[in-house]
Amino acid sequence: MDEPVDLEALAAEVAGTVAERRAAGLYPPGLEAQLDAHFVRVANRALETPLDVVDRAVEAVVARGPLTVPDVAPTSSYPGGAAVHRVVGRTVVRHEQALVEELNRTLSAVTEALVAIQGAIERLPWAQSPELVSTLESIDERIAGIERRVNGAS
Amino acid sequence: MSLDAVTEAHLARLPPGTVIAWFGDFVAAQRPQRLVQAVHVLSGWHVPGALVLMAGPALDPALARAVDRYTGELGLVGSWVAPGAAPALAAAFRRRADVIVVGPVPDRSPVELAVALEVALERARR
Repeated sequence: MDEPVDLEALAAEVAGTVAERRAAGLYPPGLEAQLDAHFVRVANRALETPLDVVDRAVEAVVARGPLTVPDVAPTSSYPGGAAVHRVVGRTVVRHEQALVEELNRTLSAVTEALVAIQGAIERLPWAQSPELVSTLESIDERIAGIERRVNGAS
Repeated sequence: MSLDAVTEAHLARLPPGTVIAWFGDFVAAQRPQRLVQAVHVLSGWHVPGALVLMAGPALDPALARAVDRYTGELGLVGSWVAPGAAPALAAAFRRRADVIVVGPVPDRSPVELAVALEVALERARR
């Protein structure tokens, strides 16, 4: 076989056969839609590992850095307003500082937790292979499909 | 230019009367995934063991990777998606093919295309 076939012409030629087979229930309903949906999932599946996801989360949290109490200038457009701002600012800054320190302790705990998860994932060989993750997801999908058919849900 | 022995052996082991080869560009407009779907239907309902060899420029590398993964996920054992294949490999695909499809895959149902390929294989066997 050297010459390419004219698939369009052949498909038109076999339209009757296809219709007969469909009428006989040879193909499961929704077959084409399932195949298209499967391809869309494959095409949209990011080749990203769980480790990539956690790495990004750690970077985002670390980049956020420690929180600080903002230094608000005691200015005002009202006469005497600046003095009021200074008095109020001195009153609330200690409370703000205490709150920020508490938030920073929480941020440190979150960072430590993420780094611990990152370390745990790094020790899983499969979690660093995008192709393997993709394959495992595919197996999951196929098992789910089989389960749906067995349960008569599809 | 010659193919290595492993490649030659792989192609030689493919069952006769089952090999569809496609040559085209890996771009959405040519719908290479539709041919993979058709070969999946062909293999599952009409010609057990049917498989597809694909070669052509990877103009859309993401699509080419997706078609490769999709072929694997559909369990088309022995199939070979080779975006950017060397001329020698493409020539080997052509020599081994029972049916050759070139360029855009018709925008038809995979079932229609599968039955069309079934007929093409039958005619090629005569």
